[in-house]
Amino acid sequence: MRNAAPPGRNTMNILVIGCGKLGAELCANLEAGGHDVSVIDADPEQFDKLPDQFSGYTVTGVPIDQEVLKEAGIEGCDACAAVTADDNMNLMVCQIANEIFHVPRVLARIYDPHRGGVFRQFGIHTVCPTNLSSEAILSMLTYHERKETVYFDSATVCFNETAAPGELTGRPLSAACGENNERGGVFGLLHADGNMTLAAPGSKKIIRADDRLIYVRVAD
Amino acid sequence: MNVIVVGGGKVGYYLTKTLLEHGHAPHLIESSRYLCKQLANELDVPVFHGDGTTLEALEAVGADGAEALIAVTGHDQDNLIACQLAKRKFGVARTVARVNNPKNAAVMKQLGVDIPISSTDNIARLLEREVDTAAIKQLLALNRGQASLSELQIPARYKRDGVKLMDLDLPAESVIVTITRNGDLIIPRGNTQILAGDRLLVVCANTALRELSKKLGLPD
Repeated sequence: MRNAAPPGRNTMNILVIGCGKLGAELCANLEAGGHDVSVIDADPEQFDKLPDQFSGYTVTGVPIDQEVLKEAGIEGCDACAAVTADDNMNLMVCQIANEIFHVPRVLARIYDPHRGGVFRQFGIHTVCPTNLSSEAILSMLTYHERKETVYFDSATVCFNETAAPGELTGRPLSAACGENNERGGVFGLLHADGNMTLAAPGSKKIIRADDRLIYVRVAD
Repeated sequence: MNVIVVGGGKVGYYLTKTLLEHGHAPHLIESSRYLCKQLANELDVPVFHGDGTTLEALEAVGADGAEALIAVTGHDQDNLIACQLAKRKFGVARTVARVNNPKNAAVMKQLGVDIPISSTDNIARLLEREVDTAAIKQLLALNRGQASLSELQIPARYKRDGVKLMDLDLPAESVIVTITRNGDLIIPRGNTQILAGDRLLVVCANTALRELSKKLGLPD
């Protein structure tokens, strides 16, 4: 669903690099959200993917050329998303946006999780579709419980809940803490009455048979 | 010296060959299986088939023990990322990147590549040097070509014969180090004159070389 933002509020100038499936979708959603969008792609035919009513600015050119970036308005933009199919291209564009044009908010789509991890350590904000898809598929295939996804900056955190295992019934919540499995670490205990106890290492709350455990893990 | 060469195209091939002849130990990474086969047949060096912008490939060729990495693929973004990974993840002391778009040379330097080399720029500079400033002979490149020590020959018929240095308004990024006149060496001061037939030794930023030649009134 595309929600139109109230006019004049939170309107940003956003530069999107790469007009593939993700880039085009992103541009359409950003514009529908009331933002000013400019998009760069080396292949002008890619702009056919944009919706007919798209009124943003399109620039044809190699994105790692400062002249092309300037033409697309990188100097005055509030945020920049590099979503070409080439990881290294995205990383280089992001670093140019960060270091040379001082764009306040910069994000790169990186397919290779290892590479994404390294450059995240260097301070580049990355989103890894491989990690996100793998997480979504894994949780659909293996757990049938309810799941929530929360985004902090460019990190994606998944919460999921499951019935407390039988062997934990009658034991304090602290016994479940520190237990890490493929679901992640224990975040809290959801009681049948809808209240929740946070999982603190010293928690003496007794786990009951109808309680549910909430796990949390960083997906990307 | 243990050197990693990323990219086995023409540049990578001849570079590896030259490094071998100079007694170094190059390791080659190339992403095309077909090229790898050819390279392995022709060169007596370890050839690794893989993407030189991944940690796995760099680890496989022993990046943590390498003294230098030279990235010479046809893509500036790949060359940048290979250098950055080598530098920051494996502590390789010297990184060299081939720059395809000359405009990217400054960017690469700013983003941490020790020596960005743009062949386009180099050829253009060599050409200009040879064609435009025949009276100037470059003797020594300083700081990887940023400036140079050059010899200038003042012609026998010099229209500004006898001009004082202080009246020349020489560019700020230039210094006349010595004047050789009739076999004698003069260390010049502001009131030293320049006479026809003098030989000048100058240190000058390459960007100011043309201006210097113009200010001295040398023929174009």
